[in-house]
Amino acid sequence: MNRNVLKKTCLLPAILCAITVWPCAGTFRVAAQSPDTNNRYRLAQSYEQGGDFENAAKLYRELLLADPANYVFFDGLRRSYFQLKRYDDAIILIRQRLISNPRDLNLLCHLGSAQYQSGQEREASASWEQATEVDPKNANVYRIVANTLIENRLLEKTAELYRRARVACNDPNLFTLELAQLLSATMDYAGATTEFLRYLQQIPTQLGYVQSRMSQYTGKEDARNAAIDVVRSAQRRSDDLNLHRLLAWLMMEAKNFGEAFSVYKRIDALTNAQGVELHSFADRAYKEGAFGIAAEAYRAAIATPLASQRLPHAKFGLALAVKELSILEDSIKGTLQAAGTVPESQSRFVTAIDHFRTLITEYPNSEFAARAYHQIGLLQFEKYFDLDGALASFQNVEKGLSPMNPVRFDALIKLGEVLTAKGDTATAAIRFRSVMAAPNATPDQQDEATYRLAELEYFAGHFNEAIRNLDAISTNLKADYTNDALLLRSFLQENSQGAEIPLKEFARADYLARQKKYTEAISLFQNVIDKNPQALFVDDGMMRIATLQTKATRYADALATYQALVSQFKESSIALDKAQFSIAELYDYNLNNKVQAIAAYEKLLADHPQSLLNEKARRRIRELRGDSL
Amino acid sequence: MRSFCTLAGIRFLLFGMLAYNAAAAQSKVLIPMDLSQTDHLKAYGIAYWALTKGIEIDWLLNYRGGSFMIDDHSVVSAECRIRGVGFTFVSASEASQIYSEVQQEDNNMDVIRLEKAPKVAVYVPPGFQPWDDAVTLALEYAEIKYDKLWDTEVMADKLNEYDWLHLHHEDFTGQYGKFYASFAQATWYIEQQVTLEREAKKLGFKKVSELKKAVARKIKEYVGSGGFMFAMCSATDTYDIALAAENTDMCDVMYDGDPPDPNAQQKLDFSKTLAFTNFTLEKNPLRYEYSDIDQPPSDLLGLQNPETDYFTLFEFSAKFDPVPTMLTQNHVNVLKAFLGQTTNFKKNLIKNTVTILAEKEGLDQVRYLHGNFGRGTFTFYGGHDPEDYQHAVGDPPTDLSLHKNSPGYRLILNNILFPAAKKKQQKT
Repeated sequence: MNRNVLKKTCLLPAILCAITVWPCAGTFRVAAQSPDTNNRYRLAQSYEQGGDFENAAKLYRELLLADPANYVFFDGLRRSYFQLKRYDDAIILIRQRLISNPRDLNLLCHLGSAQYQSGQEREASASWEQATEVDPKNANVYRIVANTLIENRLLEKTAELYRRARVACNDPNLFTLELAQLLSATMDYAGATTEFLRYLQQIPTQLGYVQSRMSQYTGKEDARNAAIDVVRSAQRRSDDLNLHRLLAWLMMEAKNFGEAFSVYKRIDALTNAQGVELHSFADRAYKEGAFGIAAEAYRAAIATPLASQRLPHAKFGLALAVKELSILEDSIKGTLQAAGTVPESQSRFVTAIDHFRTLITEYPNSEFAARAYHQIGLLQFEKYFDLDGALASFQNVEKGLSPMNPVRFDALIKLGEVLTAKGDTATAAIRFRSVMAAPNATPDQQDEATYRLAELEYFAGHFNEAIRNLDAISTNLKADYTNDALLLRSFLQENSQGAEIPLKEFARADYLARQKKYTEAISLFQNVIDKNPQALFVDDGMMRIATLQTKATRYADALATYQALVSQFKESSIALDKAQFSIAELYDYNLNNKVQAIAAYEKLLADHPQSLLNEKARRRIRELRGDSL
Repeated sequence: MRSFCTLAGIRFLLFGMLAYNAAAAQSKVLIPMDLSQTDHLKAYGIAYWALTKGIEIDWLLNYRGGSFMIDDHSVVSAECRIRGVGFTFVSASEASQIYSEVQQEDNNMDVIRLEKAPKVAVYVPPGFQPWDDAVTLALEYAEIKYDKLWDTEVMADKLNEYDWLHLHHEDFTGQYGKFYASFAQATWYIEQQVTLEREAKKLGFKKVSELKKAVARKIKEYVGSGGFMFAMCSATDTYDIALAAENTDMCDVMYDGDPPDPNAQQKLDFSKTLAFTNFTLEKNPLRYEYSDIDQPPSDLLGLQNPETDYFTLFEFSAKFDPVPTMLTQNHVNVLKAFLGQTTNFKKNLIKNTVTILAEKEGLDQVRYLHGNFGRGTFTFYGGHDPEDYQHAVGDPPTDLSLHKNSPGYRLILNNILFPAAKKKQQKT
């Protein structure tokens, strides 16, 4: 048998035995002392625990003098010297002990600490260096020395030691997590990420763990960028799936959806996911509002091709994303010209509608088709004011979705609105009532339907019925429509007493406005005002005329109407602040006259110091004059 | 150069009625600071803004909550409207009447002329966000410009370029806020410790505690040479503790890598401190408290009832003690209290040269104090955020637009304007 092997075999139990027994040795030795020594030792311990290090040191020194080989007495004295900051005494004490145990790892570490604390930094480094040389290929030696360095808050030096240990022990993966944690604490994020990647390479199943550890610093932009650089660099050397997932996660954290999409394409290919990864990413990008990237990802997923059960989901997602993109790009922002004309900027909704129509063709009579009709109907009604088209679309939703489906109730309300605009108020009322009575409709949907029905009654001149319906909503403070209901109710209560006939005319003008018959509406409002100059609704009528003039891009007329309102009514209208604010907004947004806009906002502040619009006016003045807010 | 307000509190008669009558010969804008004011905090911003435009202001101490009177420049009223600050126009004769009322011997009122916008510095670490500090929140809301300084700038004597310095919940003892017990594993705590250690090493200090002591001494030099220092929360007691501990080490091993001096308490030198004396250090490194200055101790704050927790401002003679009067201008004199790592100061540990501005009545707990050192002054204000009773690490920031009339925040802003006051000649 090889002699060396035998030697090692015998040596190992001996070492283990020594390690186990050594810490007890002192106790054993103490126990073997005389009762007086025992008592003095316990007293020294008591002093130490009580923070009286002077007396503890004195007793430990006496005990050590009596028994110089006793490690427990030595260590008690060393600890006391450290507590008393008597580092020079500690150095002498440790050196004396090192004479008999020159390769004692712990002693060398303590010596280094005492030297460092006393300001002898170079000597300390030498002592710690000597400690590593006790067994330079043993990782545990480095671990002990590293702990000593950390105790002395020498974090950079510790990292350096860990790296040296890897070379010395010929193990490039040694201290991976320790280094990662240390480098992260010292804000070396690139270094920390490198170590986490090393760890992931060793244990590929730990991606979640690595992400959770890295998330401690990836919230900071500089740290995240450092991590991204490292992962990218690693990616150039290896096409490892974990690296791609980690990079995709970092890109999503950085809200860099474009880059994340590129990475997901690779992940989808590597995992042979057939578009599933791309589809999941697209959904997430859509939720985050990155509609452009979401649309691209949906397209890529669909083209993969995606499994058939996922395909309609992805196609519907694509259509929604295209619609959202169209809304973002719509410079008119929903303001329509006269009914029937389609501004150029709104022609882009055609693409979204085409996507929804394709879905309807491919998946007829399905829930997807019904939802697509709902989306088409919304665009037709809100963007094109195409009442016939919208009517047909919402009717298809009504037929296509189960009576329990919440989207169906939304469509029914919209259907009622379309019918209202078309002039078929009786059928519209039936739709609104059906939602109000539906047990599966949400309270918000029921409130909206009630409000729309109240509007119909107002348009028809049935003011008491309208007020009764509005009462039902205005007592519910949680309802979204409470404010609208309160406004309409107070208008009706104020104006219906003794002026019912002119108010019916006024309501008819409002109805024309709802039908987007602006010229007729303006003319009728003006007519009612002219015939009833003392009516309480005159200021409201002028506000409505000015609003319609603005919608019809007759800005000069609108300005004149607002100014007439402000000068004619002075103190007698509650709409004066709104009128003044509207003048400012006309200058600001429609006439692009910054100086006049500021002056108009300032006039609002001066004339109406209690107006609720003042906060907006203040902010806008400051934006216009370029203040840093 | 700093303008300087006399600290003796003696009325400058030569600058009295004649000057004010002359000033009152034109119509004025009066910014009332009583309950009629719509936004007290932005009113200070208007005063500061006017000073930056070279427009002088009269601070009418104790007149309608410490109102401001400004010559009727159209820009002033416009700016008040834009910022939502309540004001009224007063005619020349009305203004004269107001000045006359303020100057009457039997009225506890006075006029202080504010002349120059003070240059404001805030001592904060790099990466600091304004919403974690009541003073910077107030400065941001009132739109008062400030610069941020940290240890490097303080050690490079940059403080001398400023009139006013604010310290908030900084821990000058080098114990990182004593958050070790609760946050030792938190990323922000670990990074804070590493950052501070690097800063200390960069500036030639082996330990953070040594750097902080040196910074405290630099700040003391700044005050001694005429600076105005305002500290809140734990920056108050830790500042004085750091000064007292110049020759000892009070930090335990987890804070600076070595044990504290067992005789640290005995080695404290109270002659070095500004406000506190004879205090006892908290030796437990895991206890969230520095000494017995703070009352009630931080670990007993849970026993406080916010419904009954108030403090009272002292009233001073405006004509004889203008400085404490300026610092206590408010529209109420009983204020809602608020907690902090340092909340109130134990009265019997306050030096008798210090003026107590506000206290928690009947409990020997002082909330707000002021004192002189050399040619400068210091003001300490206990608690963390006047509108967040118990602000904890990670809590959302206070939205001051919801607290436009906060009396607690007003005390902070009084301090900002105080260095703008014109120096009054001493009577003798």
